[in-house]
Amino acid sequence: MKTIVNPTRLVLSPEFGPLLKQASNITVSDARLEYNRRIVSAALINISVPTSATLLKVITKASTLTKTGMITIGLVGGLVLWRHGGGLSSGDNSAKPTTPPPAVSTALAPDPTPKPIQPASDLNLEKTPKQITKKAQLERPRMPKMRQSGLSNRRANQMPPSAVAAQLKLFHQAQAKAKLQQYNEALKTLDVLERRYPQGSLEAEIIISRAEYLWLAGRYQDAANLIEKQINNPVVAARKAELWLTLGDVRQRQGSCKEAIIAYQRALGLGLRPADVKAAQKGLKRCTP
Amino acid sequence: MDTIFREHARFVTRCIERLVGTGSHVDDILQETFIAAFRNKERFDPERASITTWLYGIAANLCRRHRRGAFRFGRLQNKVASEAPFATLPMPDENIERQQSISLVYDCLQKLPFKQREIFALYELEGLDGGSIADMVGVPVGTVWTRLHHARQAFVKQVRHRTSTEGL
Repeated sequence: MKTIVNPTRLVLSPEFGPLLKQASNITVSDARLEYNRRIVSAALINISVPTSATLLKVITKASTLTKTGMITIGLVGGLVLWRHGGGLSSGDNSAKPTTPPPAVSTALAPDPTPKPIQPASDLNLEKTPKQITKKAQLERPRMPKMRQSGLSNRRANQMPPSAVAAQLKLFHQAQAKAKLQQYNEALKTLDVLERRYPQGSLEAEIIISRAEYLWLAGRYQDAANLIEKQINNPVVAARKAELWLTLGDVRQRQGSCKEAIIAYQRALGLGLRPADVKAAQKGLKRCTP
Repeated sequence: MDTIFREHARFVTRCIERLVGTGSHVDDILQETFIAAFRNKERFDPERASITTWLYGIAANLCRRHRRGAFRFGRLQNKVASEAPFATLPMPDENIERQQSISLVYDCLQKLPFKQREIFALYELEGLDGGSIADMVGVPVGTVWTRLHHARQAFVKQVRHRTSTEGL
């Protein structure tokens, strides 16, 4: 373990150096160490680490002692009983019982007269049959739980077909028409799309595209009205910047540069894509004298 | 065991203090560390790691257990309780200002995650190099630098926050 002075250490920095040096220079007092050492030594004395050999010895010793003790107790006990019962000193070998036979033994003794075996039916040992209720009879028999096949699962959980594909198809049609500069056709397609799928998945895209196509079609006032109506719609909240940019373009075309500047600034403040940023900056330049 | 204790106890105590903060539990963990080391002495392989690394590993594991709240004093509990508490012994730090600085550092250290804290304590406070720390903690050297970087950032943030709010 080496102690290397590293120049990148925080200890060497003027701000934290003094603080860390004080914390690193802590000395553990001898008294404290001695206190702990005493406790550890005391604990270690009491802990005997038994190896397998020592354990075996201990077990053997214990078992031997137990055996010896049991034998001794048995012998002494037997001798005492034998003495109490008269033993050999009485001189009578008829082995009369000195004590009366206990009542318990009589009671527990088997009856010499054999009793007739009771039939099993009388003893009610037979299992009582389960009562079949009407409900149980009517129920279909329980089938063992079997794993359903994947096909049946799929059939059971069949979902209705998604409408997103159809929406996208129409939306792509509108885009294709806009590419061909057929903006009115594109707007009609968007109308169809909106009518067929109100509040569909492409709601935000439709609003933004509609505003753009209206502007490109030269319908500036319609575009401005649409944007001003939809700008606070939560559906387009994430794409407000694009709408502000379109509104800036519309206002610029309309000749109201003040409003255009505000719209461009709002668009830039909300964050645009790099290409849109350039467009907004260009628009701003055009509006500023 | 006495020799090992005398040689390494200071380092282990410092490490424990930095990992779990000051208090009577530091002495408990220190004692438990050396008792555990004695119990498992057969497991120590001098070719694999130095005794400092080994002791640090045990201490760090016990600190983790202490942090998790699953630390049990076990058989030592009664013995420690019967002995005079360490609080009566004189503390090494008498200067109040210094004590404040130390407590500030320790408080900020406690805010760091355990993995970052141990690296920070070993590198910045113990002055060890990255390789030694990697051996001790059992991680690659690159991991040591990464953890140190994050630990430094968090520590600096903590200290600046404390000094600005409390005017230390």
